[in-house]
Amino acid sequence: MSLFQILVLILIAVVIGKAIKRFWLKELSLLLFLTWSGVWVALAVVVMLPGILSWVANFMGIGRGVDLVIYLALFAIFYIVFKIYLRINKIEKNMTELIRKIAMQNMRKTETDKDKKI
Amino acid sequence: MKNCVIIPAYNEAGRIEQVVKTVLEAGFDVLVVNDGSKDDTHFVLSVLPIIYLEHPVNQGQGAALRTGTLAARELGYESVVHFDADGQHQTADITRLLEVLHNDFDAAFGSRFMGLNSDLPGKKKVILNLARIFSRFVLQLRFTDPQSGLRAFKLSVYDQLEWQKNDFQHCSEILGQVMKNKIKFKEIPVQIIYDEYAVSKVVKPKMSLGWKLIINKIFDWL
Repeated sequence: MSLFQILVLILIAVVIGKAIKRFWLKELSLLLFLTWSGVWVALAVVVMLPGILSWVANFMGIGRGVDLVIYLALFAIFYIVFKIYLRINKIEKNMTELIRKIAMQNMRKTETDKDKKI
Repeated sequence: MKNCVIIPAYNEAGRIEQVVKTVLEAGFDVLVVNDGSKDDTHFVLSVLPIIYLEHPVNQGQGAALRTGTLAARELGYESVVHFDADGQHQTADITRLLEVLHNDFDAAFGSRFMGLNSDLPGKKKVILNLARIFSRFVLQLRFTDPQSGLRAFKLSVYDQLEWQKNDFQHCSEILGQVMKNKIKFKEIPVQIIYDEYAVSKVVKPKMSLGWKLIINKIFDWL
């Protein structure tokens, strides 16, 4: 096993360890914990058995294993950015609604001369 | 028709009192939405006979106008005029816009490009003209001044106009709703005064606004 593989595996172990801790402290839901850990376990398998990547790439009709990783990474990044964009929009919208409600509740109407006449 | 002039204000302590007084003297009800100002806008307005709402946090002109318009509807007004707080709009134009509504139109828009000289600063003139071309050919909005903030409409069509954008995109969004829902509208020439204060307060049009509009258009197509 190369030094690079050892370093990456240590890093993956640290990340999964932190995920377990956060799951234990109930900061992560079971689904999120399994998804997050699954990604890192898959990465660990690829690091230990690099040949598997080329096999999967060939199976899917992509020339090189590295290309497959790039495609998947790009897809994941676009998906995450899109989800974050939607989430931020929703939070902004909710915040505006909340602020609007506060403004409406505290509306001040000063009596004008016209009102006094009425 | 019961009318109300809605003035959104963000850090306008230097001019808002004068603007509100002028509109009040002309005989209109005034509703101000203080959009989270950090200066003395709140104190300056506290002595004036107006309807006053305050956003605790700045949300943008579009959001402030929506808050004001919803409040006006709740208070039983039948039509509203959107008016700037920095003194660049003229009180006489309020009457002219409302006359359009009386003549069986549901919405009226002030335009700086229909003959009256608005003495636009050079750079702003170029940007606004580019915005016109962009609005006409990309957004398909056939208005002479798509970025005009001076408008009036009957609250009976508010549900069809209802805009969602908090920032300056609301101008194009409202016009888009007018076209989409075939609301009966008219543009009239107005004169905008760009004195030293108004120029200093003008929010520089950003290219990001154009990008946002393009992205929204793409999402609409999708």
